[in-house]
Amino acid sequence: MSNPFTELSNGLTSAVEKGGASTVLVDARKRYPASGIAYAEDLVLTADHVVTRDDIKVILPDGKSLAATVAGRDAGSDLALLRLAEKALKPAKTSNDVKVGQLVLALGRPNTAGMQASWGIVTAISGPARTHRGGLLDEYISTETTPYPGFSGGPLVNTEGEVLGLNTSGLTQGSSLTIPAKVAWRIADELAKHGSVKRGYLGVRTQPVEIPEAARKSLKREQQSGLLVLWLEENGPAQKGGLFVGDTIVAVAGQPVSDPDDLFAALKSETVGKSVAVEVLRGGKPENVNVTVGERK
Amino acid sequence: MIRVLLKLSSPALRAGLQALLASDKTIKVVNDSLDEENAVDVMITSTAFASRVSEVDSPSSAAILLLSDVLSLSKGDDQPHVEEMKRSSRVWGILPTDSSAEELTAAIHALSQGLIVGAPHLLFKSESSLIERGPLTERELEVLGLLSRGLANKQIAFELGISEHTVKFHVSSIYTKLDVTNRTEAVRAGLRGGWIAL
Repeated sequence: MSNPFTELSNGLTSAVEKGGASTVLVDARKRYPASGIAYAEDLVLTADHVVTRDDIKVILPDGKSLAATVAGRDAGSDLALLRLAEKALKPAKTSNDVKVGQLVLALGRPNTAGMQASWGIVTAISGPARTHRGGLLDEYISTETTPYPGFSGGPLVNTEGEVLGLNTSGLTQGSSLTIPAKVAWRIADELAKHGSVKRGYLGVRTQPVEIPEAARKSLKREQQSGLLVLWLEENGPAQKGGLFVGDTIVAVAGQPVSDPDDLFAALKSETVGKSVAVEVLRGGKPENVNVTVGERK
Repeated sequence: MIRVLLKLSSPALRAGLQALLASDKTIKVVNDSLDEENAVDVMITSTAFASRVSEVDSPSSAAILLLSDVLSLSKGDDQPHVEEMKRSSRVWGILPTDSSAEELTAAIHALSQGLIVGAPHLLFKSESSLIERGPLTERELEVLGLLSRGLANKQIAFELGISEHTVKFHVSSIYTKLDVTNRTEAVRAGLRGGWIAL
């Protein structure tokens, strides 16, 4: 008769082995090293806050040490992409199938002795949320796993060893969270192509304001608030598009905008350079203004 | 080593202060060796002198002002100048001229750490406080914008071409003016208050 605990244990060790094959050591800061995940054969995805030195070393699962350079980084999402001197990695296999209650493992390779791991369940899938670094995270995973020193940049894996996300303690003060693989890999794609994450920019300063009852009726939807335009950047995208101070922005590209986080989220990287419809209340009546979105520098 | 510049019109006062500060080996008065390469952490000036110094002054003094935290010593009979100085974005400390060596060195150390310091009777007048809530200065708006991009103090200092010390002061001032305690709250408040452009 099989022992279910032995089977569980074997399953966990196998998950560590599979996940560990694409987990590396990232030596890029003064203190103890951190971890990284093989994104491509010569690219490592890690946490931005663990990369503070120019001379970076990455140690592979087989113990080989390679020099690396920063291929791209984004402070707001705490992600950085490192390029190795040669193609020597086995890219991680990812999964977007995450559920609350799922058994998961946080993996790290903070020293050359080998893999380290902690386990727990997924306690919540949340977001969007503003982070300690001023960025906005679309979604994040909270787990019961213990983030030991050097775990930042390492993977959260399921019981098959598939990467569900990247663990980091750099986005919250005093705790750790996991950036889901679908979010982290999307950002990594941009970092690989452009070296940074483009963010759309309109050139407006706004304040949330309540939409009066009459204006709400003219919008034909239940929206309590919008963003009153207080200032326009001279020759900025919004001014060029025809927005005025005093307009109340209520939607961007068809998405209702009630507060600054909504506007920030609407100005995704794919909007840069594109003409988007900005719906405003002007004199209490809705109007659409086409604005070519700029890039936030 | 905390580098201190004594910007005082009275030679006697300058000499006296230099003697008072000599006992603290972590403080270096840089007046004699001042050159364009030196960065100054704390500039000590009197109210009479400081009210003539602005951020668009002559190149050498302007550079010092930009890099320095201003600790101003006020004479008892100079009270009218104190209010004017409180409105300046460069004043982070106020002490009376008869301060002891211990009070002086404590203030210099506190300022170099990004703190605001002063004798209560000079900082506070009934309900008013040294740093009033808003508006943010142009520089503080720049720093807040960079905070919203997730940059660390060191990175902000690099972007703006100022010292990390100065960035810390601006961040402290932003927190006070926006009534927040951390970067996340500062960015949120900045966005909601209409101080960060999107």
